[in-house]
Amino acid sequence: MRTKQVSANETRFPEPLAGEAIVVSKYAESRRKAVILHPDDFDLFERYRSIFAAREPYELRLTDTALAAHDLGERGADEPDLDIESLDRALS
Amino acid sequence: MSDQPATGLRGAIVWAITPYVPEAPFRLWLGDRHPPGEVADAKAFAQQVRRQGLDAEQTFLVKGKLRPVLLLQDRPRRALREIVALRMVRLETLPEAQQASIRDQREPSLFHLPVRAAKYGLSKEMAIDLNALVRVHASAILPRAVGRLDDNELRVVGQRLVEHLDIDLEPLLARLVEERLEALTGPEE
Repeated sequence: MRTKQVSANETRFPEPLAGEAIVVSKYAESRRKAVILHPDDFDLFERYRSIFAAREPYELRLTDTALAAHDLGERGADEPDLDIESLDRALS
Repeated sequence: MSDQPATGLRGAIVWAITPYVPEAPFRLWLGDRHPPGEVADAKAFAQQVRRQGLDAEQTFLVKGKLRPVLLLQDRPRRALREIVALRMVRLETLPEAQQASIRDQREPSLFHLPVRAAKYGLSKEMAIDLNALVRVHASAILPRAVGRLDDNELRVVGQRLVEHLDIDLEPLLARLVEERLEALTGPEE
């Protein structure tokens, strides 16, 4: 599962206790919009998932930074100039 | 590389000619008298091979670049001349927030290498890209390594690489645990 960090200062939400799941629903509770878990329960869920869930491709866990850096390297666009100092060391 | 010992390669940071991965449209060299040919994609190439008698082996025009890589294997017998390596990426062209994320070790795909010329041999801040596995021929590597990762760093890179390559180690680990348990609980001789 891909997790996204949001600063507590940027959002308001009820704080669940350990062992409690808060279901955020809409349309008079007929549709669940989100479920808020205590971090300990989320950790437990992640452990269960790693044990029992089907193995998922690592690509699903790549961050935007990893993708951006990889793309730059793949195109050679990460090096605006040559690291002459290092290259001279290799040639010495 | 031929004038270097073939051990001690694992963990070495070297400069090597590293080709880019060919991608469509593919460009073919058709000889001195003809301009390069272009094939839209792999299927179009296969159809030309199958229906128009094009040889399956062609000279593909692929860009390459001299750049530092991390070697992952030793070749003590020199029997295999291709060596698996990881390409590195410079940080300076990334947005500052992404650079900070790499420096703070929050990016499992990017193993941070600060500028430590005595250890890594690089004068630019870089990261090892765990998604950029390449094979380089021994003849494409400059003989003198500029730097080296220590055993702990290599272990971390190896563990992350297993994950990035989607290699399932569970059966192997289970067998090793079983063997260790048998060794511990088996009859004494």
